[in-house]
Amino acid sequence: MSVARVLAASAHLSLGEFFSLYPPRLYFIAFVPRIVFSLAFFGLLAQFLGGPEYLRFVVIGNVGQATFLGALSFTVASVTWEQGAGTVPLLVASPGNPILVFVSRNLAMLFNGALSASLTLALATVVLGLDLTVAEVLGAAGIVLLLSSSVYCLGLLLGSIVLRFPQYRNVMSNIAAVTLTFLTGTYVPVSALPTWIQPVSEILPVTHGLRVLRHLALGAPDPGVSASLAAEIVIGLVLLGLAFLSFRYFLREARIAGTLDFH
Amino acid sequence: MNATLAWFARVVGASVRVELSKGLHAQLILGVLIGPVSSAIYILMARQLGRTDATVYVVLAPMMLGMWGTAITTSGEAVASERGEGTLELLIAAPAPAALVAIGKILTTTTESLLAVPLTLIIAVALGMPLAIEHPGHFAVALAALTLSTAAVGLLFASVFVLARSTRLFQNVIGLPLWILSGVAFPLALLPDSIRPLSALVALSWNAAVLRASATALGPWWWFGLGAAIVLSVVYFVLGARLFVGVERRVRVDGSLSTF
Amino acid sequence: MAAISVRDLRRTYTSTVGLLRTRKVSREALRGVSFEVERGELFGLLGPNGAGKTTLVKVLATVLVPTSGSAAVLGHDVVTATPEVRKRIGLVFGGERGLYGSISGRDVLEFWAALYRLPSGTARQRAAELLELVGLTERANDKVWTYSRGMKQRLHLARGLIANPEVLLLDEPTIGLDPVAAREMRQIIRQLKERGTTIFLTTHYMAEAEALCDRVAFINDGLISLVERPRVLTRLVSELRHIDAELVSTTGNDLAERLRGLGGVQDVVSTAGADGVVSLAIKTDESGYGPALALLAAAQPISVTTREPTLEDVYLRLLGERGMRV
Repeated sequence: MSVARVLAASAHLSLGEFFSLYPPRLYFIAFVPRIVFSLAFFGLLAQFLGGPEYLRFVVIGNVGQATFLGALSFTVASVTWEQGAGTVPLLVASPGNPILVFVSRNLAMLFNGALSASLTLALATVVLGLDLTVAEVLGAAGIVLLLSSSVYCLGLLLGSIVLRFPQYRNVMSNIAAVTLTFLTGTYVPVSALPTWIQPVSEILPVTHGLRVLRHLALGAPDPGVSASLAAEIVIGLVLLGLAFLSFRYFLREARIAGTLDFH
Repeated sequence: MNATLAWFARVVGASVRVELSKGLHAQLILGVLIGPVSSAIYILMARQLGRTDATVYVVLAPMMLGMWGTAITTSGEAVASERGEGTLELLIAAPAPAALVAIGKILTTTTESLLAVPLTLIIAVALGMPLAIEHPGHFAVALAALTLSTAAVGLLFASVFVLARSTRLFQNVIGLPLWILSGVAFPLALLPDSIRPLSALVALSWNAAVLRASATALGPWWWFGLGAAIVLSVVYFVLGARLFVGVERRVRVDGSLSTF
Repeated sequence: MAAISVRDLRRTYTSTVGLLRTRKVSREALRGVSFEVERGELFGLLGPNGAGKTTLVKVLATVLVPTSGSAAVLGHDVVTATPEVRKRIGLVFGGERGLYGSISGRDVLEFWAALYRLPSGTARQRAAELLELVGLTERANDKVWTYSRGMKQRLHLARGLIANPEVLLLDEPTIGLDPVAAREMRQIIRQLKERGTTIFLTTHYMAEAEALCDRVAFINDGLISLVERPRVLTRLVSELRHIDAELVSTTGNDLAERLRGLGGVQDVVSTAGADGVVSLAIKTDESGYGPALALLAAAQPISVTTREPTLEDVYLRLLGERGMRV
């Protein structure tokens, strides 16, 4: 079960690193204000444009948005931190599968995304005065975890691409975050997007999960819960698979080109 | 006096040249790629609800966010990069006031941020929510004032960024409260009474009001609003320059800036 | 008037450690340093890493403020007359950083010329002259990120000289350079001294200090223990003699032990060479000198040479056995 061991070890390292970089006090200062203000800004905007109904829509959308900083942007960044730290050649030279390490090394970012989204959701229930049953809360928590995971897989995929172009790390993660915000129905319903672009939304993470979350929390129309959740899972797995392939490709190319440790 | 000012201008010019040599800033690329998408989000939010009356808000908001967003990120980073480059101490040791070099960088990044203006207007047209500008002359003046406040707030944040150890964190946190306070995307009336007075301290709120009015309906207050924006910009500017000198003193006393 | 005058200079760094329960941690980098450098002198500050060399240079460069005590350059106090000092000094901190990689070497010089208030015409001319002096003319228009470590170091030197300073501060000017590049750098430094520039340099290379400096100061742990001319300093350990001998290995190995046993012999280092030859490096004081030579002579050595003590001996004597400790 060496795969499990590698995953466990990396996850342990990742979380430990995360907590040492962001002890509770610092986390509170760094991430919580952003969660609060993001909710406030988009909430007020929604209120202005569409009243209470739209407010509810946007506030829950913000939960999806909350995964983007942690599970996406930070993941893309942390993959390249490995490169900057010069540990990639060491990883490649070691007997284990380096890709497994890349995938699991940054699990703290998945955790970060999930935590941010959970806090946003908690805040949303207060702000909107939502009355959720225990089952609904658990269901929502599960969806949040699912969303964070699929976004994390996208983060890994982008991270693996960015390994080849480290100087575009920020550009790519910013573009990805904004594009996801635009296309996944966080603030603009997918149905309101130009028709030619809607199919793209359907194959992105968060789109399906968010519909289920809105149905659960706001009583929005049933999107077909099992189908949507399945779609979200499949998208996440496909992204993970693509990430694996991409990492393998990059590592092979880099060994040939000699660019394994780029500063 | 004249000779000194000429020298100052020369230093600023030299700094601009170095900054330009760094090639297309990532922010510029970002501005071109993200600006339109970001604008689309705001505009579609309104369009899908049929809120064409809110056009002036949702079109100008991404424009202003694009510019002040640049001030907060790129300007600050351009200056803080001197730390990473190892040249900060050398700059302090030179006879020219180091703030001048910062100003040169900020002028460059601010000018680049102006790209947000045409890009946003074009996207609005493309999405079927074109912004009709009733008073183009006033609008141009208001834009100039916005550019000034962008540069001023850039200098202010640059000083802070030189000191802050985790600038990325700070950037993430400081933007949103400012957007809320300045009413770029929604009327200030939506803010709670206790908070609304604070808006007056943020130059952007005056910039936003003046810009919106020049696109729709002017009022007798308009020149006062413009003046307020300019005065605040000058205040930020002076504060930023002062802070920068203060930064230098702390560098020399604490000795903490060579360690990046 | 002395070019540099330092009196009881102290510099303490304070930092706060810990997040929830913070406490202040102080480190005394300079603990009361005093010395003077004459005009036109080439003065060296010699010491191990962490001794306070860079801190001292930074204080003189007005980049750091003393915690107490005073420092003056050409009569101007570094704290109260900072602008006056900055106009007259050149600094060379060296290293990979400190240059703008995205512009050419020439542009770097012209940028700093502007900051040092050189008129444009003069700036261009001076840049060209300095590029010639440091041997970078051919690569002057190439971007700095293409430069090798040695070239960057030379550009740093040119940058330090851009305003024709009366006093030049060099912090470890040859560190990281290969022997050829280092020698070239020292050549240039000598030329500068001949032109009358006062030069203050820090280094941890004994040979460099001995070769270049008029006077050398030893610094360790924030304190200066000695300021003297290199010749005088080596005489401090004059009772120390070095003997280098080459012998056939069969005799040599056995001899090393016997030499070590002699009273007065401090150290014998034995190195096996090619063709069954062994080299012995012997360090001895006066009392052991004769007996050691006698022992060697009886063993029919291939060669024997004796030499004077070096600054390294002084250094080691003064600092004791430091080893790898920082």
